Parts: sequence; structure tokens; C-alpha cells
Amino acid sequence: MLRTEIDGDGIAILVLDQPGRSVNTLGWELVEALEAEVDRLAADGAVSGIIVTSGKSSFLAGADLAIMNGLAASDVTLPEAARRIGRMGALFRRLETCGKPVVAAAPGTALGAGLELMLACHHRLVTDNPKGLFGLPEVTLGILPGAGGTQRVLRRLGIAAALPILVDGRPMSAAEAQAAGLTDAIVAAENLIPAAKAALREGRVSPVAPWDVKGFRLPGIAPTSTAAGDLFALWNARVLARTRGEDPAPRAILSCVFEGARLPLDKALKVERDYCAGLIQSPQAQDKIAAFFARQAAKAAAV
Amino acid sequence: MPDAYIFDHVRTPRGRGKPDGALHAATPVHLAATVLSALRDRTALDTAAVSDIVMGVVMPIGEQGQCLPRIAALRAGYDDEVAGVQINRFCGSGLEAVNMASAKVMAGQADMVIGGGCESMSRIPILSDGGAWSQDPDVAFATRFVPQGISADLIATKWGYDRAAVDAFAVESHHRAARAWAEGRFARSIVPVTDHIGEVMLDRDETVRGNSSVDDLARLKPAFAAMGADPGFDAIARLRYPEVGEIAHVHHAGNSSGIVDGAAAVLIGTREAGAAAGLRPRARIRAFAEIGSEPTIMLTAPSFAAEKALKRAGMRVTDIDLYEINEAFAAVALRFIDALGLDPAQVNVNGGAIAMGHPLGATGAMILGTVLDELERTGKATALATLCIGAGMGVATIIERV
Repeated sequence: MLRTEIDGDGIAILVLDQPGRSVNTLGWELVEALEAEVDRLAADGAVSGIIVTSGKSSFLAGADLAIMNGLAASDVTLPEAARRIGRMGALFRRLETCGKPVVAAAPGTALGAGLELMLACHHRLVTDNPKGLFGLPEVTLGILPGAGGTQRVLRRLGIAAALPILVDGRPMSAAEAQAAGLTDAIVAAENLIPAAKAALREGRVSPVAPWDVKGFRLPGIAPTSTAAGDLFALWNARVLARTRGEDPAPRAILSCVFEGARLPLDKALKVERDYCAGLIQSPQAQDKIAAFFARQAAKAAAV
Repeated sequence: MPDAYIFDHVRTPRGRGKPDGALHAATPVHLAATVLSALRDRTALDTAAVSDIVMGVVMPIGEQGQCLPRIAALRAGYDDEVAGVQINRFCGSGLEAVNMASAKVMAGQADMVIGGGCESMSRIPILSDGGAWSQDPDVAFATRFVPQGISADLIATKWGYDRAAVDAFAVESHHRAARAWAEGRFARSIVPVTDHIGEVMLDRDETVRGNSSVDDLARLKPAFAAMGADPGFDAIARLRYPEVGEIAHVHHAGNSSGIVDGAAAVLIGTREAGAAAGLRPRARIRAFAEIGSEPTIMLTAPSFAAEKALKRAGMRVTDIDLYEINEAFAAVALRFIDALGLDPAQVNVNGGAIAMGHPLGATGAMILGTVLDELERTGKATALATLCIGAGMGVATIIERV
């Protein structure tokens, strides 16, 4: 499900490629394999940089049904669910802080955990594949991106630009994702890996995320500004009026942004994963998740 | 338990709370120091007898922050031993400050305390301090936060106060305030605010319009209809009050309290402390109460606070001669009158905040002083002052002349 090639320049190409499937999804086996591989590459002095890519036409579609269901199993307590979600978050954080520059090279779609993985990389390349979709649609399943998605979108784009992306959860084309600032460049499909290598070779990829640089400030309005306060009041009211207070997911996403904007990343990631755990254990979310995977299965059977 | 007595009350006139307002060039500390100085000078008070100064300041930030009552006392030349404390119970702060000052006296832990408040709304605008209530999603969702204007319109809708009723109330507020000024009914309490060369900046309430008419007000557009539709505060209000249906947006700048600058101070103490200072008590604090209520409709708590205070005092609604209800919005006062079954002629006899404005931290102390002056003018005995308060609170104080 994971293979790594290291080229003559010491660039490790980590290829996600789950056998017997048309798309990659994040399951605990892949999490475990990635944990080991990231540790191994981080410790390898011969590795100068890492490219994370996919052997499929898409990148990574999100967490699988087993993860989603398992977190709501009757023997999984709320803190245990939070810790399990935190394992994914910790994996992405480990990648982000492994000390080597990491480029995400996505041949196509990266949704949910797939985009969260990309956001934890130091540089993001996508292709002009017209089928490619990028976004954090968790909210439509009654949950939220719990592996750093809310916090890294917030820190990359600022409060005002992050809110619609996170609260609405609408998947975007590559061009839209690029325009929104979620990705760094769109390249032709055949040029994906060469472009990623070039970025690493030319030293254009810092191994330190902007939010890990001392003195980092959120782009855009300051979290304590009047403008930010007004904006949160507006979004709170809009979402509450629209959902009639019956959908806890967008509310929790707003809380992740409100609280996370005031915290250092690691504390913010815990807040995010804890809110996510509460959502994913709710019957409403489990119903939406079950319906989603049933639709996926029906689609796959029809092909 | 010692009784707490009111020995004196002063207030500044209220200036329009905008850059063209007459008090805009006065700092908040200057407004507070003005009333503290006046209180001292007209009572020939040795300020060392004052233990504490409790003042409401609702936006205690910037030049209005840093425990303004203490800073103002120092600036006014009070004795170094006089402490100060700033409190915030939103719009009820000025009356709450008087109640807290009284409580210190009643508890036997202070012999003389000043209660009051200060707000320069032209310099430190309302909502400058942020706050979790509207902004923090965790709070805003759980409490069904809506702005006060929506709550006021919800009250009007629920109890059927139409545009004509609220506008008529507003016009009456202006007419009563204008008559009170014309007849000098505020003369005993008003302290003009002066500038750096000692010239008067303002010596009368700036926003009173004696020629106000229902026809004029009818031309004003509802202020809260737009926010009711988007982001959808009407829908949020209906989550709690589905029975009201469409919310009638009847409030506007002309039938809501004015944004103004001002300060007030009330000297409170034991009878003995007053006697030692050569002061005769003007009234006794009979009872006071504070209360919380459902926060979305938010502004109906004055009647609950009044009933609670009356109960503490062992009094009935009819035992009170005069009522003062802060005119945050016309519907708030109309609902208070109806809830207690009052005669409008005994309520806000000399107008209210629709005509004269509502300097957030100071208003409670101002209306208590206003009603005391009116008791004395008319030879009546008892009064109750009350205010609606953000997040669904209310505060009330009952005084009795001695």
C-alpha cells in the first residue's frame, strides 16, 4: 500500500497505492505504514527531501468506513475516540516536523484526510486533471476535519477566507483550490513528479511550516480584532439560523476556528480532534456517514 | 443591620455620543472626576470618610479602563485612602454600583461609599470590548444570541406594541423631558461639565427634542429589520418563540435609547456617618434585587427584578409612588408598565433615555437620582428604579424618603 523510491539526489518518493482499489482511502493499516515510513525517512541522513504522491489517478479520498464506524463503536469512550483521531493528527504533524522538506504531489482528488495530509506538507502541487476535487467535505457528514484540517486552513488563509471553506465544505476544482491558496501550483500530469523534484532540488521548499516559525501571525484579520469578532458573530448567526441549531458540525467547526485562532498549533490540534470525537460519536453523524458509504458502494457496484 | 441612606446625588448632563457631541472632548476620567468633585464640594465632604467608590463602566478599556473610579478619585483630589472599583453589569451597572455601595454600608463594612457610573460612548464605542456572548460559537449557539434590537422587536411583537404605540411612547418621553427641563426639575442634580479653561461645555441634556412628533418618527426606517433577515436573527429568535411568527420591526433610533456621554455619583452611608459629616439623609435604600431571565428575549427582566425587590421589602406594586424604567427601547418600558399593571402617569415622569440618552455605565445612578428629585418635588415617599440588562438580566432598587 506504500512504496518508496529514493533517487540519486536523495529525494524519497513515497507512493500511496493500495492494491486492488481504484482510489486510496485512509485506514488504520495505512496510518501505521505511514508512521513507520515517515520515521524511517526522517532518520535516514541520505534523504534530502520527501515527495508524497499516489499510484492512482487520485491522491487520497479520505478516511475509510472502518475508521469512521470504529470511532463510534459502543466500547470506544469519547476520550478514546479523541486519542484515535489524534493518532492521525500526530502522523501528519510528525510529517510536518520531520526536519526534511516535504512536497505533496497529487495527481487528482484529495478530499478530507487526503487534503489534510497535503496541508501538512510544506509544498503542494496538483495536476490539471479535470476530475480532481479538493476540499474538506466532512461537515456534510456531520463531522469535521479532525487531523489538522481546520487549523492548517485557518493558518494558511486567515479567518475570513477559511470560514467558508471549512463551514460549507464544498469540494473545489484544482483551479479553485489554487485560487483559494490551498495549493502552490498546478502542473501538467506528466510533469508532476519532475516539478516536485525541481522544487526540492532548487531549495524552494522550507522544511519548517510558517506556523512553526517564531513570530508567526495569522494572515488577514487578527483573532482579537473587532473585525474578527464581528465576523464570528455574523457566521454564528447565519449558521444557527440556517441549521435551526440542529446540526452540531458547522457549529463545532466555527468553534475550532474561534478557539484555534487563539492557540499555538499543538493545543489547537487537540481542541479540533476533541470536537471531532464528539461529533463522530453522535447518531446523526453516524447516520450521515452510513448513508455516504452506502452511496459510494452503490456507485462502485454500478461501474 | 445598618440602613443605607442616600445623602446626595449629582449627574452630568448627557451629551450626544458622537464626535459632534458637546462632551466628546471630555475624557471619561474628566466626566467621572466632575461628579466626584461636585459631590464633595456641595456636601463639604471630608473625602477621607469615604471608604470606596463603586462605579459602573461598561466599556472599561483604553482611557476608560484601568479601574477608572480609583483614577478619577485621584484626579478629583480625593483622599489617597479612598479606594475605587469598576463594575460591569451591562446597562444595569450604574444602579448595581449604587446597590453594591449600599450593601457595603448595610453589611457594616463601610460607613460611607459612593456609587455611580461613567460612560463616554463617543470616545469608547459600545461593543468595543468584544466578549464571548456573540462571538464565541460555543456560547452564541447555546444561548441563542440575538442583538438587543431584535429582542426589543420580539417583545413588541409578542405583546402587540405596534409602531404607533412605540412611537407615541417615544414622543411622550421627549415631551416629558422637555417639560422637566423647562420647569427646572433636574436643577438640583445637574453638574455642568467644563473644559480646560473652566468654560461650560454642556449644562443641559443635549438630545431632548421638545417638538418631537409622531409624524416625524414615522419617517424613520426600522433599524433591525435588515439584521433580522440576514444573518437571520429573526429565525434565531423564533427558535425560542415560534408562536410570534414574523417579527414586527418597530424600533428605530427615535424610539430607542440615545447614545450619549455622561457620569453620575450617589453618596451613600449610615445615618451616623452622615451626621458626623453634617449631612441630612434624603432617602433610605429600602431594598434591591438583581435577577436573570431568558436571554433571547433578554429585556423583560425589569418586572421580575422589581417583583423580587418588592418582595424583599415586603411591599406591593401599589406601595410605590413613582417608577423609573430605563427606556432602552420603547417596548421595554411598555411591557414593564403592563407586566406590573402601572399607570403610565407614574412611570418616567420626567422622560427617560429615549429623550436624554443612556450612558451605559451611568444611567442606573442617573435615573435613581432623577426619581429621588421627583419624590422631593412632589412630596411623595417611595420609588422604584429598574433597568433591563444584556444577557437577560434585570436590576431594581427601592428608595423611600426619610
